[in-house]
Amino acid sequence: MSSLIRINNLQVEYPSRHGVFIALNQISLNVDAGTIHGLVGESGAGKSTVGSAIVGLLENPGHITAGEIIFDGQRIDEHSEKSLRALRGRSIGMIFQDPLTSLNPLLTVAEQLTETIIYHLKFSRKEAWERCLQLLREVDIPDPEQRAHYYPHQFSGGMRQRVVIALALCSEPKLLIADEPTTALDVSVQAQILQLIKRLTKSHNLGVILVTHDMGVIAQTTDKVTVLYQGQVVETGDTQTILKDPQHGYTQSLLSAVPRADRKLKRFPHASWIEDDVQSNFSDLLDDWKASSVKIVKGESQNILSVNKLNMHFKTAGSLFSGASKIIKAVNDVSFDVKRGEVFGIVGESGSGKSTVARMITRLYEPTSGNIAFEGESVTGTIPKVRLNHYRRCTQMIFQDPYSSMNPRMRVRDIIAEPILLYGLANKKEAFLRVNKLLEHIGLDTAAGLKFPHEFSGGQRQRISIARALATEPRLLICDEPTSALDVSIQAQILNILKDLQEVLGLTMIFISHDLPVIRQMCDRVAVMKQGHLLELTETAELFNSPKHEYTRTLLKLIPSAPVTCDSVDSHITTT
Amino acid sequence: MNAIKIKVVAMIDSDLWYSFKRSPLIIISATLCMLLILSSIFAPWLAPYNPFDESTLSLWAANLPPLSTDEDGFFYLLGTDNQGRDILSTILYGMRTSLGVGLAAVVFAIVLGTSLGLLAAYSGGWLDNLLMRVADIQLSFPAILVALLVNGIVKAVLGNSQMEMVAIYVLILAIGLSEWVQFARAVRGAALVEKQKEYVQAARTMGVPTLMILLRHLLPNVSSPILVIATISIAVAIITEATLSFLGIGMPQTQPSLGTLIRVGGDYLMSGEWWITFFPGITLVLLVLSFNLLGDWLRDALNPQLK
Repeated sequence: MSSLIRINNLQVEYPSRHGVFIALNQISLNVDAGTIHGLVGESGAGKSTVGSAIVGLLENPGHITAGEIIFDGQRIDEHSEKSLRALRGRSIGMIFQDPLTSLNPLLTVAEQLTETIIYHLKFSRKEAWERCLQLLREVDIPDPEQRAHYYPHQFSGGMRQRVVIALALCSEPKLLIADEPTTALDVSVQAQILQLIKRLTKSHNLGVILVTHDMGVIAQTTDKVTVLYQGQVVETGDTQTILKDPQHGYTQSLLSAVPRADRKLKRFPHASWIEDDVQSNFSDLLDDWKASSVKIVKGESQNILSVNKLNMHFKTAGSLFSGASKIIKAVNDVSFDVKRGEVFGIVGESGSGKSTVARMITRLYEPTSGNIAFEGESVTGTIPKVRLNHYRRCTQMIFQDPYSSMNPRMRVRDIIAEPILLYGLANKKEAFLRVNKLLEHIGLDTAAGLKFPHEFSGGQRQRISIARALATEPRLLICDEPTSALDVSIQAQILNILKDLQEVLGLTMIFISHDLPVIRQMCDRVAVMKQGHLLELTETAELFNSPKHEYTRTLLKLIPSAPVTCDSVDSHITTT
Repeated sequence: MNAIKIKVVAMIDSDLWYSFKRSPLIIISATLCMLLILSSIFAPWLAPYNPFDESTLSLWAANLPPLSTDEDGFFYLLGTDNQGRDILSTILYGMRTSLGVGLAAVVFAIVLGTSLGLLAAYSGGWLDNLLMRVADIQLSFPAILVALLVNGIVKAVLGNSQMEMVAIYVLILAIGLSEWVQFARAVRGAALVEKQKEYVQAARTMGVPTLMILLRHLLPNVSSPILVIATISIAVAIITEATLSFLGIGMPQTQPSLGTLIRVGGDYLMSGEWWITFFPGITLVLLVLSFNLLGDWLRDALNPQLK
């Protein structure tokens, strides 16, 4: 049988004055009607470019230089712009990542749907309205007669994405291209949307190209999968086969880098095939630190940090004329102790107050009430300058966004040296020597010190952040979602570095994340937070095996089922 | 030596230089701009006559049309004015005054606006509110009015006789005061964005002193809007200065700027001596136009969203 869309040796290039960038290199792809074909890869793999090339939305100056796209027996890459537009709208539907921007905020859902239906199918207004209701029913929008007259902003994110899907189905397309359709959504909503896409594929006999970076989504939804790496097809075939027995090293490392929720691994295996292999080496770092003034005491059970009845209330600013200001209770009566040398996890959804707690610990926010003690001494409120400086030096933070956590106008060398010079730990010459050593430790060469942050990739920048945090030889490291902005393989790399650090130096870490599998891999004990309250605090293994609190159970249930881990990877895993 | 070489290579390789090379209009206006600036810097050497040396002035040579030679055999390319001064020379010297006032006023506005903008953004709260409301009020006055006000106050305090000596500083102050708001607003907006970024928070967790955060971390990252506004502001400042001088409350006739020259020449326009006002006018147009074009191009080239 002939496939719905066939892409043969497609080459897409972006010429620029720095040379030609090849976004897609000889890509071939077949998608049959009634199946979902996954395109998976990390940022820069070119997976979105495939979709754009099919519908002719390549951004200037990108263009197709070779290959062909055959849709339903017709070449569409050489169509004139006008006929292509008709075809694009009628036979190919697109769903984008952000449902808010794919809908016109000034028109009601009914107006957008009927207008599209009338344009494409030449229906009368009444027929179009009927069809509109039918579509909304199909995508499970309750009470469509009412809801159709809503504006996009009156829907929740998940509902909005359903409307976008209905809009894509308006013209009865044969092919649906879904570009990261669930990335902007919460986990629970994601599952529903994927189910919906799956059901529609069967009922409408659609061909679906599902572009995603998430192996979990691939495992749950797709029939076939193509793995892309730097614009090239690395592997393609049945999803089950590829997940069970990946042939290519990149697919293997991609699969093994996905954190597992079911058990804790000592390290992430196969962290190769990433931008560059990191040879981080911390073994001699400890010797340096031992010689320094700050002693690292390993394995002592004394609490390094005690948080006692912490409250943080924000006042919303009243405007000039209406003085009424509301109080938002971001953190309510949170208490916990962090033991020396452990990795203490704080997990929660957005708005749970986990980052606010971190900010109070690092003194970015002054708590409304409550107390934080470091090594038995209070560090909240006004405290003597000596103690304050000592505390600041001993606690360092690693931030979420590697693109904004460094001053873009400063050289890497100066960025890392800043805290050393600030606390007067060394003179400028010694500080730069230390910087060079730190750069070696995190797997960068010393020449990197003279470059600016924008010359590095996300993963490299996050390693530089780690070097900066280590510069003052701290005892407590606070990691606020350190990997949530990174690709999964780079996440594995960074988490490995943090694990090594913790092991060699016996550093205490507070690890904040929304991602339960990551928490499972990293933490000894976990605190679960929701809407400013601490719900549960227990050992990691116990939390995952027998959660006490209702909310924790819901969270655990929502973890997308991990991809079938292949045997070849399993054999390399040592469990702890 | 090597460091300079690297810098030069980096500059030639930069996107800014690339976009510069590709636009003939910008190359022309930049060249013109440089030419005008250089010729006003070197006016004493370039000008054929010193228009302020009274011994060389002769009323016999007054109001000569362009390309004429007087009885003593001196040649005047652009003619002479009512006092027998060579127009070309007065333009060169006048441009020097105009540019000087414009640049100094903009530097003053940058320093004032940037520091107030940074302060407002970083401190927030009532100080931010206060500064921005002051800026709003200031914006509701036309620049000319602000300048007139300052001018009037100084005149009342010092009296007419001393006014001539301090006229240039009064102009700088007046024009600078009417332009700081733009810088303050742009800097505040950019700084509010930067302030939320994690590198500023990182500096705060480290306990970096506030002044250091402002100068080392925030200031360099809000500098590109400053550069763009500055280029356009110079043009506005030059125009404002010319307007004030044209109205007779700017530079005195003894130290004429382009605006003064245009005013003086304006009196003779009706009697057919067009060159006295025409050439300074053209110079002013070219000067302002070249700065405006440069500013527009800088804004586009430095704004990544327009690429």
